[in-house]
Amino acid sequence: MLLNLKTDQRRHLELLRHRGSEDVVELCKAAFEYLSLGPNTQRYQHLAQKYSTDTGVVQSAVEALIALLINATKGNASEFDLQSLQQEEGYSNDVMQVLSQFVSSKRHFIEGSIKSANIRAYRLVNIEWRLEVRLATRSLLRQSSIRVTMKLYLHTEPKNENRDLLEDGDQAIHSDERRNRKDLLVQTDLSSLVHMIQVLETALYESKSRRIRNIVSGIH
Amino acid sequence: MAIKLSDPVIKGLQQLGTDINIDISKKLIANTLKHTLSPEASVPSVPDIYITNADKAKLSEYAVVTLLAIATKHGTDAASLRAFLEKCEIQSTILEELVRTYDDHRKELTIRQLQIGSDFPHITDVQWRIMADVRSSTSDCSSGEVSFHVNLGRYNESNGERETIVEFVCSTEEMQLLINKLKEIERHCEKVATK
Repeated sequence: MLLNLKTDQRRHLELLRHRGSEDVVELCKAAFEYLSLGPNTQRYQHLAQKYSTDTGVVQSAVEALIALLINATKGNASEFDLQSLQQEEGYSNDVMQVLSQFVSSKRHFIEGSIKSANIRAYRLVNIEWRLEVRLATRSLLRQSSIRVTMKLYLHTEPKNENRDLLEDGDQAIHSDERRNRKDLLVQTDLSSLVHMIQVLETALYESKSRRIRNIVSGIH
Repeated sequence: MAIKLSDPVIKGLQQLGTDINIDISKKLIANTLKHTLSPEASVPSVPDIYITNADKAKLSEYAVVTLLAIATKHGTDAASLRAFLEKCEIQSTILEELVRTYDDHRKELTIRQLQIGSDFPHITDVQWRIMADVRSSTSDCSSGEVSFHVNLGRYNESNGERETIVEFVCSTEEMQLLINKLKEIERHCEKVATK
């Protein structure tokens, strides 16, 4: 798998060719900070002064590093792919080591974001339930019909790991989160509940079958 | 609680076995019971009932449905129903027929009326599919994990069609959690039942 970096992005990474590994570590840190907090011009100014270049050059390099990170994760790049980048761009071994660490350490974070950027279906996040007896209705004054009322909490956003990383203990629900959430009240009776459990267990059992495991590992 | 019926309903019942002859009246009662218990489409039509006195037959049908529904609603027993109908001066053969029809089908009538009313969507069916991603617009490779698409639904009582109530996806872990949660509910219910 080749790293699909655009010519511009490769050009922006040229800065790395002339810097030592410590500076590259600093740039990688700046790139990760960009992912969580957005661009930080002051920091780029500071780095630009240090490298005696323009702020724009530093910012472009940081952005190109992010592109590298995303492309490497998206294409599931191997050590070998990174080595071919090194040959093409002529980075020193030290710099290359920093880059490959940068890519592998943040892969999990990027994978989470990439998955969440794809088509989102509702995920079941939580269930609250209550066992109830309906005692009377307009059409039947005396009854005792047993049911389980459940509240299903559904989210379209991905697992919250990344968001949690980005927000430091901010408990307030964002408006976009609210838009991506749905609560639903449903009910069922006990025999349907038992039936549901059986059917879902069959599904889970089936997913662990040799056939499905073989197919999944085959396409992975 | 004593049952109360409006004047038109009482009139509709009094017509049976008098203005409408006994045979037709019995057919009408049997046919009305079918309409009460089953979806409209599954009941074959009985044109005999409407050949003469179509207007009166309609009123009587309405009266029989009302009687069955109100008696079921109040959980009236056969003896109380008989006493009530005697007070209404219903023709004696028809009175027996009405009481017998009610008493023989009380359970079905009660179940029918249990289904009426306002409720949260009632899940009775689960469908599922297992999916594995191969490639996507945002990732060139498979995540190597399967996901479960779960569809909870019910069957419409009048036409038998399946209706989706909610649809969601789960990972394997989430599926296991869901099953555990449902089992926990089942366990709690059993505990309550044995108390």
